[in-house]
Amino acid sequence: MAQVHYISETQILRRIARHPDCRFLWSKHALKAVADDGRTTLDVEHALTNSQVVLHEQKKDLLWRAIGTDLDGNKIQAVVAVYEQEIAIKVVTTF
Amino acid sequence: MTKHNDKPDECATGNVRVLDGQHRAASLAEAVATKQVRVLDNYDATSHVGLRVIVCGAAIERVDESGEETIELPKPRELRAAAAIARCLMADKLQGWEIKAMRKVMNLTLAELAKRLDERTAPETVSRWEADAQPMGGYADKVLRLLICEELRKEAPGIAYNASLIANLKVRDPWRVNPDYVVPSIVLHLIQLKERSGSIIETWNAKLAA
Repeated sequence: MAQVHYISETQILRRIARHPDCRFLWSKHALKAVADDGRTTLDVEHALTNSQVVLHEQKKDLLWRAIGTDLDGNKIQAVVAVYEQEIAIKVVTTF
Repeated sequence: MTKHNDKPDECATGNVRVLDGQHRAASLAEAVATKQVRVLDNYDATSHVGLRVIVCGAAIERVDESGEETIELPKPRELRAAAAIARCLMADKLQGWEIKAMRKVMNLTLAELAKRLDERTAPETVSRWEADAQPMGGYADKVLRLLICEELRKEAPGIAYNASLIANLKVRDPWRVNPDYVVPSIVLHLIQLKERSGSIIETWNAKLAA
């Protein structure tokens, strides 16, 4: 099955994640997943700056699933909610 | 080294269906209709920095209506820079995982760090340092500490640093006598600092955990 890529969402996510004043909110679940995978939140933040949005779903927030790579080229997936006006990203989970 | 695809419309796979949707999120205030906000007295920020760090009186915990808890650290870039400089000023020998964390704080790949250290340093050598597969020599240790501090000092004006501190540092290897030794946590506080221009800035200040 074809991989879906959301162009405008990808552009928004990359723009917000690259913004020097971007605020990151981390769910406790995401922080545990980051630690369990031997990563840091910096790896995820870096991956979001080059990620592709491949799925979106409406739950409590409008969530996007994004796939990117860390500085060393390791693939990271994250589920995020992006708040354009506040220049903020909530990371719900990573894997 | 994998280079990421910088253009959103150029996808990695050939078999791609592109959707140009308008799926925008609600505002943060709306989405995080907060039931409870508190500033944590002590927060272990190791998973944010990659170094052993405790943040005092600055991490913000929010609990929303559904009970979901989130953590936000103010000034994360400056926090990471302050932690890296504070670690470089500690006499304990740098561990592989710490070198890796500080390289990432500087936003450098293995090859880029190797080049910055010395034209003759191979990326594989840096990789072996990070994996603790090859001990770093005393000279390389000091050059690396200097590089990190000089690179990050502008983002961490609250940490008292000058190059002579590194030059005079007597690096010690506590693991030689105690293999279970744990590097003390760096404790970071947000402070207000008056710059030479007279403006007041918020920045991170460090001390070692007792």
